[in-house]
Parts: sequence; C-alpha cells; structure tokens
Amino acid sequence: MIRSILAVTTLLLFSLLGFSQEKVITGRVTDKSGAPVASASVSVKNASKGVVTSDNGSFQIRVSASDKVLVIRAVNFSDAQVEIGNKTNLVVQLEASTKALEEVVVVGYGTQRRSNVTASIAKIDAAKIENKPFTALDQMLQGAAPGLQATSSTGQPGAVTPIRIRGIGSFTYAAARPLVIIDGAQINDGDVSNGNSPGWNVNPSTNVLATLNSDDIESVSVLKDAAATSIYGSRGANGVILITTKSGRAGKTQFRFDTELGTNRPILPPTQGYPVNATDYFTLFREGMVNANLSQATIDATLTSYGFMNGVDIDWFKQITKTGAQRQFNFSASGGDAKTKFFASLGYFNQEGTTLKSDFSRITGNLKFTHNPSTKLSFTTKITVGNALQNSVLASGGPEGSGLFFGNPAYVSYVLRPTQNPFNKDGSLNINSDNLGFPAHYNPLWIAEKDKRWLKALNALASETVEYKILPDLKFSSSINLQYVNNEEYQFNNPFHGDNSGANGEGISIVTRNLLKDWINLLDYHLSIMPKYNFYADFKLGQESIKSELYRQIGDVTGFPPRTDLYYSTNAATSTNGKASASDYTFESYFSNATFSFMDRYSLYGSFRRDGSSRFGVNNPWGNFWSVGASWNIMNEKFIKKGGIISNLRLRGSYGTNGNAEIGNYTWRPSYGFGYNYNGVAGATFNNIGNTDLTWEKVSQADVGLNVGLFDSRINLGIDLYQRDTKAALLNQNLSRTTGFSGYINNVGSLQNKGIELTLSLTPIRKKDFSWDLNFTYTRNYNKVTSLPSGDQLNGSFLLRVGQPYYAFYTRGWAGVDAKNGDPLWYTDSTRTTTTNAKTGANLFLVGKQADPKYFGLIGTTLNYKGFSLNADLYYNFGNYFNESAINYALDGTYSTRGKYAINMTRWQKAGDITTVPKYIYNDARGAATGSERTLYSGDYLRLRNIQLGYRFSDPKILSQLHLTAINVYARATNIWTKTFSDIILSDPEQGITGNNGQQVLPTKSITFGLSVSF
Amino acid sequence: MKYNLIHTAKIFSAILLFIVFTGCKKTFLDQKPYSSVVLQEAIQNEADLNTAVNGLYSSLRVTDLYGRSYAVKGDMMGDKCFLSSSNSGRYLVFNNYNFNKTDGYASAIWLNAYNAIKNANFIINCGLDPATNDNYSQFFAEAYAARALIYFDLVRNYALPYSVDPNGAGVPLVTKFDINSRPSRATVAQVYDQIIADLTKAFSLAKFNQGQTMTLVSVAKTRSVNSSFLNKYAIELLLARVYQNKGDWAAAKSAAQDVISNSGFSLVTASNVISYWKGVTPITGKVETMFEITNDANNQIGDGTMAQYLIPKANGGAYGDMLATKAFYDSYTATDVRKGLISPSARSGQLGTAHYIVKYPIETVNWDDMKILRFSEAYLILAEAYYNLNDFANANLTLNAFSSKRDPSNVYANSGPAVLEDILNERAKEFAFEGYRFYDLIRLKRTFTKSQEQDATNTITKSLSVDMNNINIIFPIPSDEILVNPNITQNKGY
Repeated sequence: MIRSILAVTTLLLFSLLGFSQEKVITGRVTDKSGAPVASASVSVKNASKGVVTSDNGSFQIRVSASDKVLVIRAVNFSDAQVEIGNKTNLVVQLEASTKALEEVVVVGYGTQRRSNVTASIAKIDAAKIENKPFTALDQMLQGAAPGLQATSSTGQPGAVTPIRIRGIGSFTYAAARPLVIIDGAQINDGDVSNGNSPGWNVNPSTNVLATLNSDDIESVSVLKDAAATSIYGSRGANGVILITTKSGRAGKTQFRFDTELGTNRPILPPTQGYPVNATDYFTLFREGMVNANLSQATIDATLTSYGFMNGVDIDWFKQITKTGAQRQFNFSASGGDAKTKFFASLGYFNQEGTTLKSDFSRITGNLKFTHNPSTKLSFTTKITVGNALQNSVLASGGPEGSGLFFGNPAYVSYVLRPTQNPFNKDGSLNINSDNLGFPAHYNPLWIAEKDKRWLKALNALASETVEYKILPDLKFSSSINLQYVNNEEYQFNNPFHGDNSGANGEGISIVTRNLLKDWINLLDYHLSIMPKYNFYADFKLGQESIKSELYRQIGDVTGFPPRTDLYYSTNAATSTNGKASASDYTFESYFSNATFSFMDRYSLYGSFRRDGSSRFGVNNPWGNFWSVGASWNIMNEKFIKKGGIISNLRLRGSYGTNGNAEIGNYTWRPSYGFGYNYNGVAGATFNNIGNTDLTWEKVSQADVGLNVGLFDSRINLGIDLYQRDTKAALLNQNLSRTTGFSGYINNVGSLQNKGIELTLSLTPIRKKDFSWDLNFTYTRNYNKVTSLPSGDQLNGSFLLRVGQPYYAFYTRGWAGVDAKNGDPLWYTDSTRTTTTNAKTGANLFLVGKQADPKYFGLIGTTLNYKGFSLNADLYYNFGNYFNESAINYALDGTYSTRGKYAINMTRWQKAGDITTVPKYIYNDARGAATGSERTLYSGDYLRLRNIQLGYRFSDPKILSQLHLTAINVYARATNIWTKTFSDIILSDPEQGITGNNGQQVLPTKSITFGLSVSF
Repeated sequence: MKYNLIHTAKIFSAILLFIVFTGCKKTFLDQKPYSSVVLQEAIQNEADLNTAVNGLYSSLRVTDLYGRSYAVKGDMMGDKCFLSSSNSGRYLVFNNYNFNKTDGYASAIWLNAYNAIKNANFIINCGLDPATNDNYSQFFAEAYAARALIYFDLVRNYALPYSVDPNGAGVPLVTKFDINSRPSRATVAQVYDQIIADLTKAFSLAKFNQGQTMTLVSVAKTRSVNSSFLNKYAIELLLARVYQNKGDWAAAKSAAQDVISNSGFSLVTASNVISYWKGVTPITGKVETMFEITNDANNQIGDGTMAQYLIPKANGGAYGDMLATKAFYDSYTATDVRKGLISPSARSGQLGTAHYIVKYPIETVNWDDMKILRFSEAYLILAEAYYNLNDFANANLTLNAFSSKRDPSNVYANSGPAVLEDILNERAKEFAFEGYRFYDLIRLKRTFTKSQEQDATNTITKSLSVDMNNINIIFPIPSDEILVNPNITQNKGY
C-alpha cells in the first residue's frame, strides 16, 4: 500500500517538471446552442500534438510557431478546422454531424467509441431500466440483451435473478454467473448474506443488486466476448456486467421527480395445476381407497376423519395470495459548472409481494461529485447508500433452492386439504393438530401472522477517484472503492405452532458484514500517430488490488415465553448457537491494453492481464490472460457510396482467453477443520482434501460480428457468432467414497458453448408525428460437455456425459398410462421399445431433454404519435424442460391425504381411457409421480413482459407556464399475459436456470401508473 | 515525425514508476482460513488427540449413520414395526422393501461411514506412539474401537451375514487415506478379521473404565470418561457382539462373561427403566449405558434425532412416522416395565391405535442420545452363547438374571430351541427401537412377516414375507461408488 502511495506522488511530481517554450492556446468547444462539447479532440493539423476538451468544453494546447491550424473532432459532430494565427483564445462552434449518432460505450476500465469497439458488447440505456416495478437490475435484464439469460424461479421480492451470459460456462452453479462491476470497481453481488449457506433458511435469497436504485443507473454494458472480458482476467470468463451510475452535467440544475404506483398480483398456476375443491378431493380419496381394496368400514371411517361433507371447502391459493401495492418515488438533481458537477438522488421503492409475508422496501441516497481544481486535476467522490427491508417466506438455498417447508405458504397451498379450516368457529386461527386442523403442514395464516423472517440490508458504495493529466496525452488515475454490505437477518418461529414450536419457538439472528476494497491505478496514454489519417492509439496500463472480508455472527435460541410479540432472541431461555466466522479473499492484478484506430476504418485491439489470487493453489498462484480484436468500418471505405442504401456496415472479430475464479476462498487448502465438536468439547477432522494445484478455469472465446444498417438506419441488423471453450473447468472430481470424501474440486473437465446472437431493429414508419419501431432479439446457444475426468458423472437430476448438454436430464423414460388397466408405464431403457409397470424395472437414461433454453429473446414494438407512445415487449423462451421434483405430493394417490392438483380428475378410470394420470390408488407405492420423465415439463413460453402507454407533454407554452421542462405520464402492465404450449403443465413455465420447480413464491404480474416531471 | 525527447522520457518514466511501485507484498495473496489448520499441524500431542477423537465421535452422530438411520432400519425392516400411512416421506423404502440401486439412504450411509473411518484412520496413522502414556493409549484405543464399530455396521448393511457365507463379498477395507484408491470388496470374513483385530488392539490399549478421569497434564485439562466415550469394557462388549454375529460362541461367551464379571457395571433396575430412558446426558456412573453417541445443546442433529422421528407433532415431536404393531405391544406383559415405552394413542392420519414409541425423550435443549452399547446386551449375548454351547441351564440362569430386572413375574425355564426363542423375544423387547431386531432375524436366516399397514381395527392389512432371498435385506452398493470405482461389485439383484 505504502509503495503505491509513493508511486502516485512521484508521478504527480514528475509531471511538473520540464515545460518547453511554446505558445499556449486556451479555448472552448461548444455546439450551435453554446452548450459545451466534452471529450472533443483538439489537435494540430499535420502534427502529433493533441488534447481533449474537458467536460465544460475547454481545452489548453501548446503549439509551436510552425503550427498553423487546429483540427477539432468530436463524436456526433462534423470536424472543424480553425486558423491559429496570433490568437491565444478560441471559441469553436461545431456543426452537428449528419452521420448516425455515434454512441460511447462503457468498456472494461474506461469508455470507447462504438465504431472502435472490436468486442461484443450490449449496451442497455437508462430508459430501459428506470422506474420498472422490479426490485433489482438483474430482473430487468431479462430480454434486454441477446446472449444474456435471466431467469427467475421465485417471486420473492428482493431475490436474486440468476444470469447466464452465452450459456453455461462452468460446472458449478455459483461459478457460472457473470462478474458485476459498478463504476469500474468490482463488487460482491448476489446472495452475500445467508441465503445459500446450508442449515439456515432465514432469508432464502437476498440480493446486493436489490439495494441499488435502478434510477441511479446511467447505462449497463454487457461484455460478452474475450476482447471485452479478457481485461478482467481470471474473473471475466462468464461475462461481465458493467453498471455505470449517473453523473452530473454542467449547466442549470435539473431536478427530476419520478413516481410509479400500482398493484402486484400473483400469476396463479394453470387450471390443471390448481388444487381441487372438497367435492373432487373426496371423489379421488374414495376412489383411491376403493382401488386399494379397503373395506367399506375403513373407507367411511377414513373419509369422515378427513372432513367428508363437513361443509369446509378452502381454496388455499386464495388464502395465501394477496394483491400487493407497488410504489416508488425517485427524486434527483443534477447540475454544476465548469469546475464542479454533481448528481444527487433520493429514492424509495416498495413492493408488496403477492404471497403472504413477502415484501421488499428500499430507501436509497446517492451523491456523485466531481471537481476539477485545474485542467489537469480532477477528483470524483461517490457515495451510494441503499437500505432495504425484505420479508421472506420460508425457503432455502437461494433463488434456485427449495420451498419444501411445512411453513412455506406457497408450497403448503398445494398439499393442504380443502377441509383443513384455517379458522376456528370463533374466527380465531386454527392450530389444532387433528385431521381437520394442522397436524403436519402448518396453518400458513398463523405462520404469516406470528412468525418473522426479515433481512435488513445496508449496502454502501464509496469511492474516491483522482485523475491527473501528467501530459495532455498521458493521464494517471487512482481510485479507491469500498463496498460495505451489512445484512441483519432475523427469524422468529413462534412457540405455539410451526417449526420448533416443540422447543417453544426459535429465534435465529445472523449478521453478515462484507467489506470489499478495490484499488485501481491506471495510466492512459493517447498517441496520435498520423493525425492526417486520424491514426492514433490508446494505451492503458493498470494495476488493481482487491480484498474482500466477510464476517458473520450467528445466534440461535429456543425457549420463548408463551407469547408472540416479544420475538427477539434476548427473551428466550436457551442459546444453542452463537458463533462468529470469517472468510477473506484477495486478488492482485496487472493489466494493459491498446487500441489502434486508422481513418475510422480499421481498429485493432489487444489486451493482457496477469492475475494472482488467494483462491489459487500455492503451486499455481498467477495466471496470464490475453485477447486480440479487430474491426473494419466498411462503411467508411471509399467504395461504399455515401447516401446509398447502406448507412452502416461494420465487421469485427476477436479471440482471447480469460478465466473464472469462483472457487471457494479456501478450497485449495488441504485442511484439518474445527467445529466438529462432541459432548461439549471442541473437535476437528481432516475435512478438506484440497488441491495445491487448483487454479482458475481457462476459457478461450472466438467471436465474429457484423453490423449492417440500411436505408438511413431504418433497418439495423447485428449478428454475432461465438464459440466459448471452458477448459480445466472447476469440477468436483468424484472419488471412491471409501476415501471418506465424495470428491474434491479440481481443474478437470471442459465445456463448450457456441451460438448465434441476432438483433434486428426496423423502423417501418418514420414521419414527423408518427413513427413505428420494431425490434427483435434472438439467442441460440449450443451447450455441451466436452470432457470429463472419469466418464459419466451424476449431477443431481442431470448426468454429465461428453457430447451432451450440461443440463441434460437423466431419469426413467415415461411411457404413459396403460389404457387397459390404468397402470403407470415406464420404458425399460433408452431404446424406448419395451415398457414395464414396475418402476424398479426401468433404467435411468438421458431422456433427451435439457434445462437450459435452446433459444430465447425479445420481440418489441414502439409506436410514437405526437406525444403518445405505445411500447410492448414480448419475451420468448423455447427448448427447455424443468423438473417438477415435488409433484408426487399432489399428483396420484401416493400421498392421498394431501391436497391434489385438478389434473388428477383426468385419472384413468376404465379400460380404454387415454390419460396422463394412472389409476388413482390410496397410498400408491408405485411412485409414478417421481423419478421419471413424467416430472419434466416443457418450459416453452411467451410472456408479455412489458406493455406501456405513455404521453409526453411537449407544448412548450404549457411547460413554461408550469415552470417545467418535461412531463411524462404512462400506464404499464408487466408480465400480464403468458402463453404456454402444454395442457398438462402444472405451474408457471419460468422455473430458473437449473430447471427445477422448488415450490417457492409465485411469480408476479403488475399494473402500474407512472409520472415523470423535470424542472 | 518528431518527438519531444523529454515528453517521451516522461512517458516511459511514468510507466516504469507505475510498474515498480504498484507491486504488492507476497503475503497479500496468502489469506489464511479462520477455522482450519494445515494437516501437518493437526495432531501433535495428547490435547490434539483429544480434539481429533471428538471429531471422530461427531462424525458418528450424523442422522444417516448412528444418529437415526441405522436404528430405524433395524426396526422398520423387522417384524415389529411399520410406517404410519400418513408420514413425512422418510424411510418409505425401508417399509416397502423396495430399494433401488440409486437409493439415497444407501448412498448417504456409505459415505458417512467411510468419512468416519477416514477420521479414525487419521488418528491411528498420525505418527504418535500410543505407548507414550495412558492417555495416548486410551485415545488410540477409542479410535481403533470406533473403526471396528463402523466396519461392523457397514458389513452387516451392505453384505449378507457371516452366517450366510463368510467368503461372500463384504465391504472394502480402508485403513489409510489414499486419494486414488478404488478398492474392491474384502470378504465378509476378512472384514470380521479386521474388526476383531481392531477391537483386540483397542481392548489392550484402553486404560480407562467409565467414571474414571484422564488428566492431560501437558495442557492442564481433564477428561471425564463418561458414557459418550468408548471405555475399556464397552470395547469388550462390542467384541462379544462381533463374536455373536460371527457365531464364535466360545469367544462371545468369554468376552460377555468378562464384561459382566469385571466391568463393574450394573443393570438398570425395573423401577428405574422409565426414568433411565428419559435421560439425555451422558453418565459417569456404571449403570446400564456403556456407550452412547451424545447430542448436546450446541452440537446436535436437531430434529434428525430418533425422538423427533418417533413422536408425532401433536405430542411434541416432529413426525411420529414409525409405529409398533399392536401384536408387539401386546407381547409385553402388564408387569413388564418396558411396556411403558410404547404409547398407544390416536394419531392423525393413522387408522386405529397408533402405538408410537416414547423410548427417546423429546428434549429440545440437550436432545436425545443414541445408545449404542448397553450392559443388558452382555447378558443376552452370554445367554445366547450358553444356548449355542448347549448349556441351557446357564442360558436360563443368565436370561432370568436379566429379565427379572424388567418383569419380575417372568421366569424362563425352557430347554432346547425354545431357549433361543426366549432369548430372541427378550432381545426384541429389550432392544426395541434401537435397531437390533432386523439384524437378529437375518443373522439367524429367519423368514418373517414384515407388517406394512394397519387398519381401523389395528389389523395388519398389508405385509410382506421376507426371507434370505429378498434382495432388499441388504443395501445396494451406492451407484455413485460404482460409477467411480471399477473394482467394486454390486450386490445380487441390484
């Protein structure tokens, strides 16, 4: 650390030395309206000298007597030339360019002009993510960029939405996610609290991104190929999401107020997946007992004990779901002057869940402040604080985990009987444990009312960046970034009814603190090689140190007093757990890249990074990563006629390597671990084999992309082809269990993803008052396992086999129901030629179904007429299956005393019946609803993700009378319509990356109204 | 093009300085874990041995090993218990006798057992000398004895009994850690030889009986040898059990006799049986319990314990899934104090009377312990040994010495094969719900009726006749072992 401070100081001092005798010209570059033009290049014609204007448009350049003309270039403006003469102060007005507006894209450790980018990067602008009724950015990214899969499997507000970029690139669930960067700095994202740690289910999924206000985000860049991600070295292999927050702009202070209000409703299961009413329930129950050859006396006694004809008929989904309010308010101010700029905002977001006891609210504050004491020096201070309160229903293991808990209302509404009355005669909640009460699954209304399960999260991002221009073309910057996440989680299980009521209730308190320090030092050098040909190069040299420190305290108590209002653990009698633990990791990196650009036609890019990490085995501590890329703006070639049908034509390609370091912090270390205590005395065991050679996954990726614009950009087509090979992948290398271990993490196995990404935007109508835009994205990914250490490997309900997709279901083949006798039938083996009615006679095989979608994307349309706009986004997803691993409780007669899906009414009843549900037998032991292809359902669907009708007040008279600069109003419906393609599907088709319905919280649809005012 | 020399020099100097000064200290990349040490530092003295032995015992405690599953299996698969028709979904395969080769219990128990063996091996092979002092010797004894215990239960769950074929496939014998090993199955006899060798060594190394206190001088700590540790005579009783299963009756007799004569233990008396079973903490007195695996307030398996499994939610437990048959309940005479360990009552979802088991107390602070070796077993092994050595008089004498402590009105005086039936009945009653009955039946190659369902009149309406040809009397070798270990063979029928 001290050495780095020295370096900074030395660099600053060094730059003050040795100015030569030249004339200094100062000046300012503006547009026609006089607004400053930042980042314009000012160079001396026919010489190599050049500077860039600051954010207020000013510049300062040293010229010699021989220099005659200054050339000024800026994105979106035509080039201008100015005679120097004897002037020392110049004001240059630039004409807007007639060329298509050219954007600047945020890339790793900086920004780049779109036309220079050799990499595959999708950019998502603020407008796409502002004011959405979603708790976190990751949810908003569904369909936002080709190649990015964001699939949610729980409607719990505040949960993580897992993201995969360009397919599944790692063998472990946690490792396959992309890296998240906010304003250049790495953060700990995802479930950094407790959600994924075994044994504790306080909050099933908490999300660091949910503590950020999306209205504070300026843009999101999704980095996909090696040329984009290789600069992130050992952490970039599964893609990078760069989040850039808003900054202030010089000029009159702009205030903006946004609000969106509305309601959320649950997306209920389809008709056949809805629980039956009491009449149908007892029809099934009786039939099941008759089919089980029980005596009439037994049947009658049993039916009576379960409330036959007792008049109770509960629709459990009605009981546990609700309409929840959706509201957010955001206020921001942005402004500044030549030397100082600021952006400040305050936000409030509240989403009431649609399942009892699930909600989320957040308050955010944000300040970004930039000051330039001189043209050489600037510093930026950023402080972003988000405070969230999340109430969760009981589930475990993160967004892809399990909701199979007796206290989870979403799950129990399937398995409770319609005759279990949640209320006593006097209206109080029923917690009796007879058959008409709640002997097993708890009364969810009681649990919702009496239990607590919350997260109080504080996420603070603070950064300080200093930039110093050592020379006009050499810039040094240093930034120190801190992320502080403090999660307080608490769970109270009441002492009367529910989990641990036998121990008179339980109180679990978990406090997790995550502190991440990221220090980045950068040198940026712009070299103008041949200004005449606009031939220049940008070099970057950087160093980064990251340290993340986790600290966690857990307290667990039982023995509460017989009341429910004193729920903090201090009131309980017995403390059964009170422990602190910690876990740290570090990364140390050096990196460099260079971009060469010639005549706006040819760009070449190269990058190199060297990473060391505490997570890498002692024998393999450092890794090197590199990439190259090239782009050709064919459009700018002379042979393309200007003003012809082609308005944009660009070809680019890249190849490179990177890695994935999502390894446990101490996984490589062979260790003798403590905490294996016995009889009140500390114990320890040899608990980790370790692997001193353990290192990052090695990924190489090739990408070719073509962008075509036709008819003045009324047709834009982008195509990317990619191939991504993961080698030395982190995979549990299975061992003979007789070693005492099931395996250890090793760099073995490989995976391949290749695919195509398409974006097509069309503007069929572009008139003064009316325009119609269409856009279409398509992603097709082919994923396969390309090598394994020791043959086939079981992976939950999947089998890893070379040549097969990573998520290839491995189960028994389901041959349907025997029309003759109603028996369930399975195929005996993968040939699917012979069937058996005994499950034990059926072998497991790869059934040719995968959990990751084959293709997905978005179809969007926008109509603008005067101030009105109508926008609709339809998300589509095809080719995947998901496993209904818990339907055996509510399908068939195996668990006759639990609630039943309506589809059971289509059961086989007589010879000749063609159906998917076998003969209904009480306590059926044949297990037909589990462990076969029958539990795999097609995940094909279309969903109207967003439909929005808005009006923008544009009459300047009205606006000025109101002292406003803009008003927008709109109505929006989210997830309002879903189309599936199966008439036997039992749940919503969107069931997460790993393709398993964990019976978590139902998904949500909302209708909201918004207002946005600027003044 | 001309370049200003100073300009160029500044750029290169800046880059050079940048590279030189931003380097980090080497220790930055060495982040040490907070809850483990390197293997070389694991066991260096007697205090470390104590820690390691605790780690070994804790690995026995898990639910899918001694914590619950072994005990449930030993009763659910026998002829005295069945699974309630309304249940939590646990152990259905035990009740239905329909394991398939991917069975989750078979897989979990296998891994947990070998994990515990690995922990025992780690101690045995730690390089310290057991002869250093009595404490070292005792810790090694416990590690050897634990390893023998684990192998004994492994071999009787994954291989056919010794009485069926000593040369049949047993389980792989692993006595030291080797990451690359893919062992084949030793024969049942070889596994028994290993177990007997371990126990013999353990017995000779064991220096402490229950109730004694070890003083670890080097760290100024003491260790009270209570019933949660394998003491000298618990080891010998285990040896007697192994001889009994092997059918080596002379050796079984001598070991059991030595335990009875020299251990100083006493049987729990009839008036204390109920309160004995309410105890949830290890004892230092020498009454009945010779070895139990303990749960305590902070180190436990929570609702993975037997009590939570056996007692319905309405009565304070979690599930109440396994029930005794009415016939078994009725087999206890009114004067048999053990009848009080079964509670006939109504249970939601179960037709008729639910005879649920209250042998394990619901206790949510200290949790119930799993008794593995009780002094009573010495009497019953000894009686069976006398029977097999055709000494019916002593068999009856021993049996009556024991049974008088349970049902004073009951006096056994049969001869011939009826004596064995008396002993087996007494074993069934005494060790009910502790996981003995099923293993007794298969060790004696019996054909029996496994009850599966009961109707409103407490009549068994569904049952299964089990004989030695039923493939489900032993587990499959787990499929995840078979996938990685080409040298292992699967059990017949899977």
